[in-house]
Amino acid sequence: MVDFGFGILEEQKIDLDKAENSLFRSLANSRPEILTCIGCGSCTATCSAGVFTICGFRPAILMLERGMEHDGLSMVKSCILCGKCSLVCPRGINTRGILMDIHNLTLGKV
Amino acid sequence: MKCASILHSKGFDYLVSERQSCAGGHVANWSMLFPDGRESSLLIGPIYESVDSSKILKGEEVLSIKKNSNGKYDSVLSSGKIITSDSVIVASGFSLFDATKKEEYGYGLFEGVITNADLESWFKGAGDIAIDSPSKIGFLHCVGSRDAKAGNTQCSKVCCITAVKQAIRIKERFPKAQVYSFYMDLRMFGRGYEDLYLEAQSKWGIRFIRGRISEVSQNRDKQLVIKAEDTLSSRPVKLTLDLLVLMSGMAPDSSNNNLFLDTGIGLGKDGFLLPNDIMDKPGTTTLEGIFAAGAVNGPRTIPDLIGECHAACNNVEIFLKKTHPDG
Repeated sequence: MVDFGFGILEEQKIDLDKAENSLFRSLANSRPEILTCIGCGSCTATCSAGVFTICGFRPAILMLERGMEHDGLSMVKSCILCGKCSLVCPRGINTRGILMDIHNLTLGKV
Repeated sequence: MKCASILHSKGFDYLVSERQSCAGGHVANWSMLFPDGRESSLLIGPIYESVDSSKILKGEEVLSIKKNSNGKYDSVLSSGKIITSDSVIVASGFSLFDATKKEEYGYGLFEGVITNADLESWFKGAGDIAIDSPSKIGFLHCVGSRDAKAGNTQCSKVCCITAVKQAIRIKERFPKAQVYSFYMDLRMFGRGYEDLYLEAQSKWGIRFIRGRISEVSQNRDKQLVIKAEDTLSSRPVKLTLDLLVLMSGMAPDSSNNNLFLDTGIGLGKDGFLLPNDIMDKPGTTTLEGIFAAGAVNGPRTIPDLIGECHAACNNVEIFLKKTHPDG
C-alpha cells in the first residue's frame, strides 16, 4: 500500500471530533449572543490592549469554540476591560461582559 | 412607476402619487447599473414614456390609506386631496441609511469620506463632491446594514455587488489608484455578480480584505487613516487612504410608520412591510385590495422589484375581476 501522505500534521490539526470546548459552551449557556458573532474583527481592530499586546476578542472566541482553550485565553490575558469592543460590535454582543465571564470562570487557571 | 406602466398596458385606470418632483426614485440618482452596466436613464426612460403623464401627481406623498364605507380605499395626499380607488399598490421604497449615524467612520467630518450615493452622483457628473486623483481608495461594506447598533439588522442585498461595480468604475477613471474593499462577507448571489467579482480581482487588481473598519481618523496631510482587523491573517491592519466610500444600506422608510396605521397592515421587526406570504404571494399584503411592490417589502434589486411589480399588477387584476365581475 502506497502512502500518499494525505494526513494532517498532528500539531496543526483542529480535530473537531475531540475538541474540548467546555469553556465556550458554558459561556454560550449564560450568554447565547456569543453564538451570533460574524467574525468581522471590529472588536479586535479597536482593542485598546491590542495596540501593545496580542489581544483580540474575535480570534480568542474562535479559538475557544474550536477547542484551543490555551491559545484563546492567552489572546485575552491582557484585556483591560475598556469596553471599546462592545461599542463597535455590529451584532450588539456584550463582549465586555463575556470577557468578564471568561475572567471569572478561569480565575487562577491562566 | 413600473406598476403604472403595466396597469396602463392592461388597460386599467390609475393615478400615481410620486412624492418627488421627478420619477425614478433612488434608481434615477444612480449611474450605471449592475451587472450589465446600463445607464439608469435607459431603464427608467421607456417605463416613464409608457405611462400617461397626466396621471402622475408629482410632489404628492400618500400620508395614509383607509378603507371607506363603500369598500373602496381613500388615500390621503400631502396636499390634503383624497384619492378614492378600488385598489392600491404601495411602492414607497426605502430610505438610504444616513451614514452620519456611524460617527466612527467620519462621514460629514472628513472630506475624503463619501457614501455610495455621493459616488454615483459624481459618476453622473452631478453633486458637489470633488474627487481629485486619489491614489488609494477604500470601500467599506455593510454601513448601516447587518448592524444592531444602527438599528438595521437586515442585509441590504445590493451593496456587495454595488461596491464591486463602483470599485471597477473608479479604477477605470483612476487606473493607477490602488483600490481596497473591506468586507464581512461577500454575497454575490445574482447572475453575473460572481463574474463581476472575478473581474474585479483578476482584471482590476482590487484587494479584498476580510475585516470591518472599526474607526477612521485623519493625519496631518488630511489623509484618512483606517483601522481594521485582517481577520484572515488575524493581524491588525492600518491603511492610509485618500478616499473612503461607505456602502450605505437600505433602511425602511419612515413613512411606513403612518402609511399603514389605518389599514391594519403591520410592519416587521425590521421596519419593512410584514409579508403576506413571503414565498407564495409576491406583491400582496396581509389586506386584500392593497398590494405592495419593491423595497417597501425589504431590500430589493431592480430585477426583484420589476418582477414584484408584475406580480402586484396581476394580483390587482385578479382582485378586480373578483370584486367587479361585470368589469
